[in-house]
Amino acid sequence: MKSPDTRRARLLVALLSAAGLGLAHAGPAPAPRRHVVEIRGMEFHPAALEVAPGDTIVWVNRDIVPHTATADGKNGWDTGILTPSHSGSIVVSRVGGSPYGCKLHPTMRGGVKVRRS
Amino acid sequence: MSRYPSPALAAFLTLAAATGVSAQAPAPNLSDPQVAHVAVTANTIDVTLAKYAQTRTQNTQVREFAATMIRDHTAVNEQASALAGRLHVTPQDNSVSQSLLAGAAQARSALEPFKGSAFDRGYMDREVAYHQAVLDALDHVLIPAASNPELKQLLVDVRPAIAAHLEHAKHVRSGLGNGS
Repeated sequence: MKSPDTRRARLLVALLSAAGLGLAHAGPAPAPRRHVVEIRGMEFHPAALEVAPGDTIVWVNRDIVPHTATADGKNGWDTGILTPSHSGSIVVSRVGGSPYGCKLHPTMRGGVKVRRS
Repeated sequence: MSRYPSPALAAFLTLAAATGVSAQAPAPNLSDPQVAHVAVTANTIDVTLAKYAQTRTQNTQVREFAATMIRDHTAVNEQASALAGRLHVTPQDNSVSQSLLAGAAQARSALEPFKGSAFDRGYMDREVAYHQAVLDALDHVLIPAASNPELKQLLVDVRPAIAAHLEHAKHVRSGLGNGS
């Protein structure tokens, strides 16, 4: 027959293990990051970006003419018109890929891939 | 063969002749105030023609292209004016600017008789030729002639926008067909 002390010790080990496992699985969520895309020379730099849900993407217009960053499709995100030296941002939420472009200049293309964090 | 080559051809030949862009002719020797005047004039010409096109076209792509021309060339001129003010440079009228204006008037006159899709094709032909000619002028005349580093940099910064306009114009034009 096991002593009460032994049972308490085993219970304590079990609890600590569970807590440790819990920490290992849940962990603190990675802090949201801020990504900057520069618009210059009528191009997005970088043109392809990989981000996590909750991250912020900022487009900074370094060009001499206005631009937008607008996701393809009807219900996608849109920075609106960014005049020279101004910026606009979005916070990404849904996992998946979003090809995008400048509504004013169809030759300008980019892509955002939202991966699971 | 397109029925409307004349506005495009006229625009190209006028700008090429005015800026001396050819294999044989030497580039005109322009001062910085003259380079600034040519740049502002070239932008203003495209804004004016785009505003005219907006009163004549019913085509969504042509209308959007014209809106972009107005927005972009106005923005470039605002920066050019601000730079001229900072540098205490007064843009100086010259024969190249005068030739550009004469060519623009000719191009508009050539477009006036056309309506509907014929107008759209003529306008976009002109825009393709004009932006190609402006690119050539930037590369062979204006950027080499500019001596002030900020003026030169402004022209260098404008170049990708003109190249993008050219591709945009070609894309819209190709969607209009030949009207046969």
